[in-house]
Amino acid sequence: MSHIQVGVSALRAAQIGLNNASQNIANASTDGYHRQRVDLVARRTYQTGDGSLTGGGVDVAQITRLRNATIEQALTANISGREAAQAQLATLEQIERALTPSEGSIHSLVTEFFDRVEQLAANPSESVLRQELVSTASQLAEAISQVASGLEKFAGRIENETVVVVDEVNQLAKSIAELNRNIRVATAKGQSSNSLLDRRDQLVNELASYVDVDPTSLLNGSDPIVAAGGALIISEVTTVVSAHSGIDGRLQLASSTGQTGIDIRGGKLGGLVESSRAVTSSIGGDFGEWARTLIREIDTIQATGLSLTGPAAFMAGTRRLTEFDQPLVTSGSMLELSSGELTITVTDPSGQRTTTPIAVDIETETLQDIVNKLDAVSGVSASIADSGTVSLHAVSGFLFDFAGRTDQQPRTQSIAGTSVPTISGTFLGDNNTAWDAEVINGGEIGVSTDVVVRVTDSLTGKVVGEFDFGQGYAANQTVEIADGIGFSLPPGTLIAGDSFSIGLTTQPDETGLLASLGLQSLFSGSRLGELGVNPAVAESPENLAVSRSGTFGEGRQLDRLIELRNRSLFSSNSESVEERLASITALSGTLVASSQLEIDQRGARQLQLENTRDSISGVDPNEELLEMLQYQRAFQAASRFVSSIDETLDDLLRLIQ
Amino acid sequence: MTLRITPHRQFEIGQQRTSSQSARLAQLRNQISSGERVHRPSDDPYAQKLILTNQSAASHFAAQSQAINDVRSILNEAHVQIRTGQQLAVNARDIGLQARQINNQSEAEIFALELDGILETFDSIANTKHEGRYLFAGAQIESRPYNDVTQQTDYHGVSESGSIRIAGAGHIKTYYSGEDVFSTGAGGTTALRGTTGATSGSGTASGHGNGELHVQHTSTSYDGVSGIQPGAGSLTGDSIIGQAGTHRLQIEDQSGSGLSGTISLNGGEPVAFTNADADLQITGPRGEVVFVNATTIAPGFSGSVDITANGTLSMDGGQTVLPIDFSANQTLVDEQGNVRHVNSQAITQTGVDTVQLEGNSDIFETLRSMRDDLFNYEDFNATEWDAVVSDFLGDIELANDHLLKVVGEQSVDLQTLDRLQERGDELQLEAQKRLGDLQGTDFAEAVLQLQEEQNLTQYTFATLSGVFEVSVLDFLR
Repeated sequence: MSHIQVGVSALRAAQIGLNNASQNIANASTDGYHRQRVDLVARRTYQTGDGSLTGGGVDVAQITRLRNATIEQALTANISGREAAQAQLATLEQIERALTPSEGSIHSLVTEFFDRVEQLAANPSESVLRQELVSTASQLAEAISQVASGLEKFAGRIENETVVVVDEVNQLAKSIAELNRNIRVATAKGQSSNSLLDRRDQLVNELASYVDVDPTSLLNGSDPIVAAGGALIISEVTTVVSAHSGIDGRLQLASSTGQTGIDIRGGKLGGLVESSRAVTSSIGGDFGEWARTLIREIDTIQATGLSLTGPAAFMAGTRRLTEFDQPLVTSGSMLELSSGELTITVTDPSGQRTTTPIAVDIETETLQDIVNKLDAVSGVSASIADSGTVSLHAVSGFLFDFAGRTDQQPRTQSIAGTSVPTISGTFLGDNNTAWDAEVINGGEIGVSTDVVVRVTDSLTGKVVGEFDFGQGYAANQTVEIADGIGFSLPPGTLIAGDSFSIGLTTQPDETGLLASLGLQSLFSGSRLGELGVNPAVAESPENLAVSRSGTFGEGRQLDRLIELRNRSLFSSNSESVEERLASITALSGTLVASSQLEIDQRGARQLQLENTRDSISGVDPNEELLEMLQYQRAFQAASRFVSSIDETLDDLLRLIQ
Repeated sequence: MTLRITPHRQFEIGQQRTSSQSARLAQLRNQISSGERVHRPSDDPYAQKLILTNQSAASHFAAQSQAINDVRSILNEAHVQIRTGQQLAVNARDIGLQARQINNQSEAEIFALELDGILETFDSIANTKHEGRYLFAGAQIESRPYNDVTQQTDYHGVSESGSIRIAGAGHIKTYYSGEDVFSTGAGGTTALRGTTGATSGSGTASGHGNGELHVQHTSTSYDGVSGIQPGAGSLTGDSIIGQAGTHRLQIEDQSGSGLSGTISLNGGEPVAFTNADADLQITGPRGEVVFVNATTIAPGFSGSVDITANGTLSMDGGQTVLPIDFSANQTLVDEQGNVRHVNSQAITQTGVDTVQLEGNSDIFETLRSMRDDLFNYEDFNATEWDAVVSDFLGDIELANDHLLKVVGEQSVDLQTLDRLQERGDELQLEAQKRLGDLQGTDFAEAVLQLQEEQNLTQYTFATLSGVFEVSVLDFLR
């Protein structure tokens, strides 16, 4: 009887072996399936009636999943990293596309803009060249606007996608928790949980494609799985991740455990977080800084020039400060503001100019404070509209500008003689300053010998020069002092000790306020995404303020624009406008290329890991067929054995009969 | 250790290989068909940066070259005009040299008409327009700089020149100030020529070229108890100027009762008077004139009477006047702000003196002055004419030298522009060459790579299709 049991056990084991082979062959191409092996174990021997020992047959100890936990761990981590890179690449490629140079791209338009400036500089009053420059400026504004809007849209899309991914992550976590429960129940019932474990491994890898998964939590199948930077802890229940807007308006991630500011370093969600940084901080930030710097510089030059129509009777701001009741530093200006002087020049009905420097402290003063100061300037009234824009009006007969032209009369004077100087010229120095002039030797202008005036730069304390207005000087003729400035003295006398000072302005707006408010600016728009050309300039290119003196043939502001093209505007890396844009473009390419490289590297690693994993867990149909043959033969042998025992027993029974 | 490789794995590996080979094939085909190696920044980020930098540089050089061409065109036109002007100055000098020899009015008028023709041409030169902009109005290129230089020099431009800043050359003047071209400097010493007695003061004069000093009479008074008074025509008719004692009347009351007698001026011919003469003209030995009222001459007065005659000085035909104070240095300012210093101590009579600023000239004024002198040739004696011609030749020489100097300045600028353009063209070419190297596809390499990738793809397909060629199934019976 026991012999039959041995045979039956062999038959059962062979049958299970055959079943296992067929299961393996059936799942040879199933993703996530781990090859299973039937582990046979000999039953313990027992003592027969005559005291001899005999075998008890064979048992199936278990059906084992062939799996290497270390390799699986590495694969999970690699999936997480690759998906993060993949998600980043998708965004970076969009940014790269926006910045890819082509005909009519931002790069060619910046170059064309400065080329047009050079052409206009040769003929500053030429209306066709002016029109072409304005047209190019308009296209450039649109191109900048498009890129900026694109970046804003990318950021919005990333946020939307983040919300969707967070939902999927929570769903997956829930499914894994459910599987954990099922596995426990199956195990408790002594059932095979291999397919459930395979499914769980698959879900964990799927989770890793969305968030980082702590590899140490995968070592022991019964430990809770820790993922999403610790925000997700999955056992038979799970925590939940949520996405909500932070105080800065950006999307923040939090856990149901109360953890906020989660740092997710892998998976699609990690990639989206990194993408968001790329859009808002790295490339997006660099591009924004580039665009705002360029606009600020160009607009400041335009705002501090004179158009073909000369000083203005009215100026309307084209930009608004959203928080105009706050100190200027936090007033929501798109362009950078700094403390310094803003110089306004008012021309009275007789043609006499008066220049007034206005001190601006952005830390303590609001826009209203500055408007009040402008309003206090004789001949000008200033006001803020509800929208946060500023308007300036000249009193009837008066005109104003911000070109920083030198007053014809000294800023201050203490002259006991009868000859009062007249200042002329356009100051071409590097910094705003004042020159103090003192009469060293007095006498009659153009007549006495050695009527000497010494001029000193009040900023540096250096003597600019000493000039003789005595014999040899033709009264009323301008004497060139330095940096484009001269003065003349009418017939009369100067007394030793007489003195006067000349206010000199080369940067009429040190603060960037005119550009920030869009007063006589070239560009308009309070956000990069809504950039355009100032309607006043677009309608009439003669409003391009390219001159400092107001004459048709003079284009010193164009010289400044040409100088701007070559200036190392971005001090951190000594790059010009065009070089900086080229660097940002190259950076977008570098990030795409490095993301692509990472994907390729992780892909290659994935291939290696999968090769290794499949060398253990993969199903080779040939191998399984041989297994099948082996179990088939075992089954046949066991059948034959049982049959033999049966025949033996029959023979034995026949003896009794 | 040899890994177990399953057919499933082999297929997956094969699929991945074909996918990457297809991507590479597409990239190579794109490079070959477009001729460009870099289509997006990630193809070669550093090359992309260099491409953009070189594109910008090439475009910049092209724009600069265009600007240089524009400036050169303006300068060339101005250069031609000034060269023509300089040639006209040479012609005028020749006329001056010939004018020294003339001896009658009609001959002088022929030369005068020739100079007038030269002035007409100068008017056209000074108001030359190039592509709609005046060349000699300084930066105020939209304003006609001169009204009519044949009549007067009235500059409407500005003294500031129009210029363009060109990298490597600083500012190049494009639109010259007419004052800088057609006048030589400003200021100098005043030289007076005339009959009033005015001489040059001690200060430095300002302005350009020649002018006129108008000495006009304003009042006459008589010292002492002679009883003689200025006549009704004294204000406008008296031609004497001087402090008391400079001029004298000699009165002889021949009737002893003031009824009749004689009056003479500065020792000139005595003129008979009666006490009915309220506006009697007395002429002195040099043609000086006073009008006296003889009705109140004291009876029996015979003797000398000192005269005080006041007047004014003017540089602009009476627009602005300065009372004569008979000092060593009186400063006159005309309505344009030009200053002249006059010694009025020796002024004795009214009149119009010629004022010349030595050391500078205004070519239009020089030509006009000579033309007008030629028309009035008969008013000059030989010595005076010689002086007129000498002054003219001196001034025209000065103007000629100045025009040559401006021509020289322009030539230097043109040469600088040529050099800059040459350099710019070279740099542009260099940038374009570099662009070609960076951007262009290396066809030989790309075609070979394409062939290689195609072969690899074929091999991959071939090996994949043979994965199941050998199987245990073939041996199972």
